[in-house]
Amino acid sequence: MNCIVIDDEMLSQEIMGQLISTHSKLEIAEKFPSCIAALKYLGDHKVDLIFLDLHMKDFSGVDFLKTISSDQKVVLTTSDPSFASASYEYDNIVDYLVKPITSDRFEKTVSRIEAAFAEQKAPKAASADKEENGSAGDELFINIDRRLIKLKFKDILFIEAKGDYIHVKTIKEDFRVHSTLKKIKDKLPESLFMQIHRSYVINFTKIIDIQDNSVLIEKSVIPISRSQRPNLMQRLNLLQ
Amino acid sequence: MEHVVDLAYLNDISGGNELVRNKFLQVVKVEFPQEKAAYFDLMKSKKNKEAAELVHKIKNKFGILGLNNGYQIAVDYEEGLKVEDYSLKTNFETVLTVVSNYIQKI
Repeated sequence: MNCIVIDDEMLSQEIMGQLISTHSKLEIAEKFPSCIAALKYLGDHKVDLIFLDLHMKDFSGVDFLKTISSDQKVVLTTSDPSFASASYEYDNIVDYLVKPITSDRFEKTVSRIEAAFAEQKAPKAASADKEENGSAGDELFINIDRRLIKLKFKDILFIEAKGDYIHVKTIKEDFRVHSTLKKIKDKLPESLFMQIHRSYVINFTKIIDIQDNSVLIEKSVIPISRSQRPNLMQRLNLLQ
Repeated sequence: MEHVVDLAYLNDISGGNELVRNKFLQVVKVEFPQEKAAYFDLMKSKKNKEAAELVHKIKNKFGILGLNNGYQIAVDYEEGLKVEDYSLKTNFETVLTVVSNYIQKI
């Protein structure tokens, strides 16, 4: 992975350089004393990772974060721990290092960098795998604590919306994902899934029985909204 | 309170390599006097905000040189400067002198 270091202190630049040089997977392309100089460089060069100091004159690290692509991975290096909580708003921040950075702490950073890149590659790898196996469209990946978990459509029982989260109930376990019902519904095949209530999307092949206003899937009773009931009934192979 | 330079941190990141450690000390020797001079200039001009920014940088060097009490003084002084509280000025400048004396010897 090629990386750049942005820090207006020469000593900090040298220390970051030393820490990075001890890892064969990391390679420093350049060091910059200002964000402006780094931005000029990034206009012509692609880098995998940026080690970014926050406190810099004129154009701060925070300004820089707002300027770069949200896909660009960044490790923050600062003497100021106060930005730590705000940094969680940026999905591209891999780690937050408070100076002076020890070699032990930097080892953790390297692990986090490797995990972040593995996560980034996972969907592409999955997509390639699908193409190779001719099995495109029978699974999706959900993001749990920066881990991508593969779910087979056939294993999903139903999905319930709860506030800012959805609960994906599968044959084996339940997953709580920060997403919306609409987003996941758009990724699921209509041949298997349908929305039967504003808070529920079900795999209708898993239905055990249907009563007036609810369906039973495994041991869960799921409500059917009045407006969705005719659609559900239409899709069932109903013997009358 | 006595402030004593401790090179444990620099030894750690140098992996015990004296040449690498000395390279860092040479950078301190170049960079620190410039920052110290700039700090006194800003204080003289009563540019507190800019002085606080410089204290922020200098405190990093205190930490690197193992001056842990000095680091804490700098943390508090940086905040104080922003609200024109100079109560830690003397303490901070004492640590500056400790670093100056140290780098003169290396």
